[in-house]
Amino acid sequence: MRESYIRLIQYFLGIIIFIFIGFHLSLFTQLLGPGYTSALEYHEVTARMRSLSYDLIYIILLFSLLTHGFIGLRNILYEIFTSSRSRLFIKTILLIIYLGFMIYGIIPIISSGEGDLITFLYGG
Amino acid sequence: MGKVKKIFKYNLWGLMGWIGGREFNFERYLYLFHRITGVILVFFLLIHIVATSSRLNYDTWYLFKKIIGNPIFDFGMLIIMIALIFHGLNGIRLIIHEYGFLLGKPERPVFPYRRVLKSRLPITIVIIMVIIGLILASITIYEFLTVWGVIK
Repeated sequence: MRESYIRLIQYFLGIIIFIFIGFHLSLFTQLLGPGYTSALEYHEVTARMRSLSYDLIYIILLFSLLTHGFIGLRNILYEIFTSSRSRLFIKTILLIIYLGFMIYGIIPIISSGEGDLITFLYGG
Repeated sequence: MGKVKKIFKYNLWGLMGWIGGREFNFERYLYLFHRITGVILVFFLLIHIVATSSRLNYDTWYLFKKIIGNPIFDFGMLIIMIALIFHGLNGIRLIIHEYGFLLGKPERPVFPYRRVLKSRLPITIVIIMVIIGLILASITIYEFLTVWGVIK
């Protein structure tokens, strides 16, 4: 993929993150949500886990943050290691870590609560 | 090839290039902090993904809450929040600059010459971002002071 496209993706995801993270963090303020302490109570957490809309928001956030973060990390490492061999190594390692964390992060989101995505998609 | 050219072509300074090099001005400080906060936030994200996965089980969640339930972690969280606010607002500033929203319409260079770049606007954008950042940081600090019991 051309570097210019990667940069475009980086900017686009940055805006998406800015919007969704604002929503995510509003939960932890008493001005807009239950507040930092209350939002971390188990019944509050499970209530969010059961909500389909929260599941979707968390999936979008997880994908955007991981992609944005790993593109950024790749750019930094590419600046430090300039040979094509080391860049291939960096690309491979980062892709493995990226996919690993994506799967690890997505499993709790889609498999939690009664109104989870698996139930929504497959019924029952 | 000259020594300076070689340094820039092969990035021989590595990480030192972030703080070294030419034209070290205000934007270079923003660039430096953008990178540092970016790296911190990526590592925080990975820890956050692992930590929040414990929510599937009641006991694991409370064990996780017990581990993070101390002022050192709260202070770390506050630092992360401020890093996030800085990184986000500076990112928006970068997007505004790169897409040329601050450029005026191109004009013929006819007397009296007018500058196409609205030169005061970049500073205005920085000031606006600083104000928004201070508001968001104040909300965050207020929340943490409430958690610590400083504000009732």
